[in-house]
Amino acid sequence: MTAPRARHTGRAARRPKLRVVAPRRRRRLPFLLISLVVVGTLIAGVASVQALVSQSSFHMSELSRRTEQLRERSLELRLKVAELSSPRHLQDAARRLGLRVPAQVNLLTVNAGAADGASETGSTQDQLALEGHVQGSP
Amino acid sequence: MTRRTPQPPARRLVALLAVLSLGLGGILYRLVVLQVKDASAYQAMARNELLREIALPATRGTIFDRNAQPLAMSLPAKAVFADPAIVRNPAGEARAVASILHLDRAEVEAKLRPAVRADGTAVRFVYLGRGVDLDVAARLAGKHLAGIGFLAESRRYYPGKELAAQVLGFVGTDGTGLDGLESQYQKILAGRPGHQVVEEDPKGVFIPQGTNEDVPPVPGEDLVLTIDQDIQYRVQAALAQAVKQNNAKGGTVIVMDPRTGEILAMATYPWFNPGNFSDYASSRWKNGAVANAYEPGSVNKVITAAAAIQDRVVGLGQRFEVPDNLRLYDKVFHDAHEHPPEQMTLADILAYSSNIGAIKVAGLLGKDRFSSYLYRFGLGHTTGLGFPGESSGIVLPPEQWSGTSMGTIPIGQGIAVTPVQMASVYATVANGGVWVQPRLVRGTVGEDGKLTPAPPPDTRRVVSAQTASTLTRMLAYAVEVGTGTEAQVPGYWVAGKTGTALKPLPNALGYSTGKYVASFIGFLPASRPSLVIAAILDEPSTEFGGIAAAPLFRQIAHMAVARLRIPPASKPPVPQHAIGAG
Repeated sequence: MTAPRARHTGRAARRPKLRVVAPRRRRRLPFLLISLVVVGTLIAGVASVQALVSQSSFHMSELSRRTEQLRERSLELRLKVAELSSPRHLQDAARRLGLRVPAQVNLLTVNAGAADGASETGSTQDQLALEGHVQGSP
Repeated sequence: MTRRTPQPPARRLVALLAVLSLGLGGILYRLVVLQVKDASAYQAMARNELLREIALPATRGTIFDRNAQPLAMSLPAKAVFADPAIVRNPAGEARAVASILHLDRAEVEAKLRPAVRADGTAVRFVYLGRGVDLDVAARLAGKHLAGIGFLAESRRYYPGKELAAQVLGFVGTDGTGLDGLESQYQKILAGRPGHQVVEEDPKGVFIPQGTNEDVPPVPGEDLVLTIDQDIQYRVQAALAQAVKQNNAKGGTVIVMDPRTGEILAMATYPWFNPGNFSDYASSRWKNGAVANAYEPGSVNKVITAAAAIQDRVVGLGQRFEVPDNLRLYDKVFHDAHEHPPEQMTLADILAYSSNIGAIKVAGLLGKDRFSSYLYRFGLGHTTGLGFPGESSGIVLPPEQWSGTSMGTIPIGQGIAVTPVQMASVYATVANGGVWVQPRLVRGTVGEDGKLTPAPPPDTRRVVSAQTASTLTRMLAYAVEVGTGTEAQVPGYWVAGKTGTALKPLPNALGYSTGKYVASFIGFLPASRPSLVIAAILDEPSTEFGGIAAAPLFRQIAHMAVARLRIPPASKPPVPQHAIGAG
């Protein structure tokens, strides 16, 4: 029991005297500044990215709308083309231009000698008519 | 003076704790209710506040003719509706809506006023307009009228107006096919609608990066018909003119390729504009070429002759003594014109359309054999077109025939056929004795733009090629010198037959007087048939098929061979013993 006490006493005797020192001033400003810059940069970055995404989204939305409009316009034009190329419209336009349906279709024929069965004729004398040589109005 | 002993603070603290615990417990309970029990309901409510589901209607497929000319097509449009409970100024809004949509103002105002259903609930939805053009709808939307809304839909257009109207049919206001091919191919044409869910702020502005669910619609497939738009138009013009010239009640024309069964034109007069179908009598909507069963008259004699040749009951050079009348049981049958007894071959009987001759030939066949040919040629059942309302005609089984049936049916009375059935009979002869199922659709075109051909048509041999060839020559003879001379087309050999059928009375008890169906059905070039044309006029004042319908056939044939660039062919081969007279 006595030996530890003696050791304790000895240490206390060797400890230097404590003195009051002035509190050490911690330099917080750089940390705050750095933090502000980092946080500010992050916020600005996130905001920018968000803005860009939003802008792209609006742009995409606008493009989709435009695409749809163009598709509708394309369909309208296709309908217009169909109406303008309908036989009724073409006939009316042809009549306005003074065109008439030919009363007689003329057949351009070649010598029937080489044609199979050409000796038997219809109302025309020759039998072989070249495809594409039938003239008339469609 | 006694002084109150202060209570120990522990009791107050306990009381405070109890109050706080109760309060916190209540909050906790409410939190559990909100976050757990009713969470999904509140989530749904929140979603509904923010999210908007937009229906995306599928674009209905286009119907093209065989040359890729659109006959029916759809354009996006808007349906305009109103919620009367939200409308603030019915009179003012009705004025604006009526002027833009060209509607009756009073009718619109009546729709906009608050109303109650029979069950006591308020009316919250009423259509003001359907199929409104997008620019018109945009003008109306620009007015920002309270309670007026818009729904996406499509509108069907028929660029050719009345062109092939009964074939195409029409769609209802909701875009569903109601008649014709529009109805028959509804599933293929309609496609599958989609939807889009977007997030919006309270002002209805789209929120980017919000919920955006997109289920795109699947457009309907396109339909490619066998119809040729130009031939169809010219056929309709010729038919309308023929009906007018002959003071007829109506008429039907079919143009068909006998080798493939493809129908190039099919018209029934009077017609209608499918874009405004409700403005016409419903009787005009019917495709008479497939839905009208009529007594064919003498054009049916081709079956009588085919059966006789095929079954060899008649020698081709055999002559019959043919008087101008014949008694069969209680009925006396007559030829169209009085004549002394004549010696006629089968070719003469066809050429001069002798009723008595045809009855005599059929008598040699017997009703069982004869009736079997009627069925084999396709009478008595539908053609397989699958067209809505297609009639199978009326051919009674032979055991139900009366004593005079063998007098009426061989000459085309006492049975009912459709024009397309009868055209198929002649197509069978033109096609060397093989019946080919008629068809109106070549195929469908999907999103990949590739044509998926329709299944090949059914075919069956009805008579031998030799029988068909012999019959062709007889029919050509009928046009050359017989009743069908008005059907001759310069430069071409035509084979065909006239028909003049008395119309039965509506009560089916006998025949009307002076009311006929006049027809001419034939094909050309006779030795290499490319076209079968059936021209039928209902109640023409000119009565006879050879006078009323044959010129119509000629006009159409003349146009069609030029349009299709069909060259003439040689005279059909003559079976040496086929022609006994003339």
